[in-house]
Amino acid sequence: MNETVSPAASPHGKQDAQRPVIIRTRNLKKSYRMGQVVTEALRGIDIELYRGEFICVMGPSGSGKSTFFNMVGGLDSPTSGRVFIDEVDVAQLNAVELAFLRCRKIGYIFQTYNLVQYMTALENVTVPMAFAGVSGDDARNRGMEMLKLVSLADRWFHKPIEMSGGQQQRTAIARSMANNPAVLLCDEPTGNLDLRTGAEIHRILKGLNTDHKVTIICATHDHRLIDMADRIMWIRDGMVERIADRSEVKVQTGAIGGEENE
Amino acid sequence: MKIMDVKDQVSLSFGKCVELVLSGIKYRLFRAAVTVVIISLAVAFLMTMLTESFVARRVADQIDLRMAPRRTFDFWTSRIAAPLAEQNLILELARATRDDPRWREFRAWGGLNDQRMDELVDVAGKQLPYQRFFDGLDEGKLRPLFGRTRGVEVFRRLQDEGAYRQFEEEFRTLGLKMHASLDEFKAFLGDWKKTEPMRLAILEGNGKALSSLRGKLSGQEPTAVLAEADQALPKLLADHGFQMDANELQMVKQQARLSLDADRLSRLLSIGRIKNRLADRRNADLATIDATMYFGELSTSGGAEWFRDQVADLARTIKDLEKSLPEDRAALAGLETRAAALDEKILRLQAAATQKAKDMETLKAQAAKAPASDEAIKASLKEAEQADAAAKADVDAAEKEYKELREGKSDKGAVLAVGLDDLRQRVKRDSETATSLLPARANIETFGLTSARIAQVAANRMEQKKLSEIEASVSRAAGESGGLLGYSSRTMWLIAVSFVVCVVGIANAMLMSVTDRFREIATMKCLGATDAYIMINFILESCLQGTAGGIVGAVLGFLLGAMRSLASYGWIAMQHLPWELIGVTAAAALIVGVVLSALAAVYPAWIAARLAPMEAMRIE
Repeated sequence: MNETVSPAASPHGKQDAQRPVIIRTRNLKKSYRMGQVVTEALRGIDIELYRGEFICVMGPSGSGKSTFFNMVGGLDSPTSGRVFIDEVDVAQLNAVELAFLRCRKIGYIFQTYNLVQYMTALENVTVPMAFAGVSGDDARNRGMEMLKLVSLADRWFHKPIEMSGGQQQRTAIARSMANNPAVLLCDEPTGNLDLRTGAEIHRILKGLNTDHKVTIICATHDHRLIDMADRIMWIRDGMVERIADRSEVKVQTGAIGGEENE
Repeated sequence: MKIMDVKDQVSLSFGKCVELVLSGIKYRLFRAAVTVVIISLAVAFLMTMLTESFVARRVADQIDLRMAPRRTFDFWTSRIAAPLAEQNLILELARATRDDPRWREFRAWGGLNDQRMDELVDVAGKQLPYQRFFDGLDEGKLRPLFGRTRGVEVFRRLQDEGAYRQFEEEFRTLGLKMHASLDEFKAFLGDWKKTEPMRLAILEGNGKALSSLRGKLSGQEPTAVLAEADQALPKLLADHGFQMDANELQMVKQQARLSLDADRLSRLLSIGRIKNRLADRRNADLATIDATMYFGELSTSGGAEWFRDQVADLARTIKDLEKSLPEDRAALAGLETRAAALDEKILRLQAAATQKAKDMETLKAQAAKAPASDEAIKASLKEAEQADAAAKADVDAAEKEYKELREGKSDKGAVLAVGLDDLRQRVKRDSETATSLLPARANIETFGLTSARIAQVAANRMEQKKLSEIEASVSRAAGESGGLLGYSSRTMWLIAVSFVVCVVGIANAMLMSVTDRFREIATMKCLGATDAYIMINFILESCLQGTAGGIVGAVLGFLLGAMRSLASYGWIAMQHLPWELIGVTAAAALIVGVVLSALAAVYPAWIAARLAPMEAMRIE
């Protein structure tokens, strides 16, 4: 089935056939069975996400936004259709290969930070490196580098409970960059933070995108983050409603043009 | 489409794994501690039982060892005292092997050869289980089966067709089950009958040999014979078919001597004087003096010395009394005669005095009536008064003499002669003493034991008593638990239940842990953890706790078991702890702890491993 498209804009924004694609979906569908009820979370999504871009995903509750995230992040498999991450069909991967994927190719940033409470910041950052088989010393060195990147080098020995929300999120970002992933998946990264701390995070993310060429896929409602994006995608009722370049979209405090009432 | 190249994936070293698990445990120390406590309790329970059982077994062995000389002595005294009983013959046959002295004895008495002996041993071996089975039945079953016959006679009775049929019917009706089938039993009965003449021959041979032997021993008590035994005894015994070897001779002789000396000491305890003195020495109530206290006192070197002095003192007393008592008795007899004579005399004099007084009164009355001029009456009256006074004086003198006789003559406090009363007392007392000492006289006079020997004998007696008590305690414990290390089903059941409770409790705690940590687990998966890693993480955590709990439990269980053994059996339990066995058991208990905790963790770990990483994302 083809996606419905709002006639006001083209579905894919400025398309560049030459740009390398990092994530591609073909007729992606996902349904959940809960008892007798079958819910169709995604009803056929065809999109291409380019390497090195910064894209924000928006959509109301129940729109299938998180399901889409799970698919794209290798956290779940589709019911039908295909997801290609770096040209690899996710559905073909077994559990071990999926774990590899999550370890090396994708970094995750959560709204609730999800740090390990009984480890220091440095230990938290080195966990993915341990899974990738990096030796202890190398891991620690690289971990400190990552913490420097997010300006937390002097707090490397602090436990999450000793850090503020912003610091925890920064640690999480450092962790997500540990194995030099190609993609960063951010799920409402500043949802639990105040405006000023949030701005810090936004800056760091943009920096990663620009300086380190990391593809960033964000689910967010924060307009300032949307402001930094290259493209913006709306999902509604399990379908892509619209994808637009940043330039095509008016972002204002309070409201963004072209958006349904949230 | 690219095929993914998976290399270097999850080459998470085991060391790193352990490190991560340990930091996790540190964070959840309380819950980990609870798990450790649960495991250690279950392991301690198991370990306590095993320790107690091993120690009891070791104690039983030790006691067997220490009581062996006494047993050998008892064995030989009973053999010399009375002929072999059929029941004992069966028991010994069942145990006998070809190089056994008993084998040679029975063969000689019964006039049998080795082949025949084999048959006998075989039949005896079969007979015992049947006998044990029958002995284990209660009266309500024995009556219908065997009427009034019991013991070995049963096998004799069942030779009769009618009796056997009754037995068989009742057996089936009662639904009993033996270790063998009824057919096997019937066959056995046939063998039993066939071998009976041989057994009777042995018993007869033994009886004859024994009476001949006793004739040679000319009526001496077995203990006395053994106490005086020299190299000639084994030869004498061998001539009559009894096989005693050189080791046994030494052992038996020593035990016989100890027994005789102990008896001598016992007999002396019955003397009242000794008992009194012992009560004084121990500051105890006379009623509480018993053999234990007696031998306890005598087993110390001080007590033994004291006792020797007492016996010497008694010997002296006997000697003194031997001389003094007859003398005193003679003196007493003399005094009694004089006293009797004096008594009589006093009576006479008193009668006379009364008469004189009467006369005086009569004359006084007359004089009062008569005129004052009657000189004759006055003169008679004066005479009568004098007579009266004299008579009274006589009586007084006699009475004084009597008193002196009774109380003894003294001169200003010094005793010049012993009075009758005192002498009577003394003779009575000394007679009683002599009477009480008389039975033990021979014992006392020939008491040649040194204080060292006294102490040795007493100590030996005390030890025998203690060992018997411990033995009783051990077999009591064995009876309760269904045999040492052959645990009763009740014990097994308890242990199994404790394990199940342990596993369930830990699984429950782990499931709680999984629930608490779902976000953490999902995040780990996002970071690249495989399902296998998650499972290993949980099982490893549980195993580490199991190890800690196992160690604590093993140590605790050992200490508890050792203490209980100490309480039951005394210091003998500690003297010979079977360390190697306990070490192995502790290791096994530790492994049990680890296995239990691993088992408990399997289900929770599986649940955790199956958790989908998308749970880590916020739930919309």
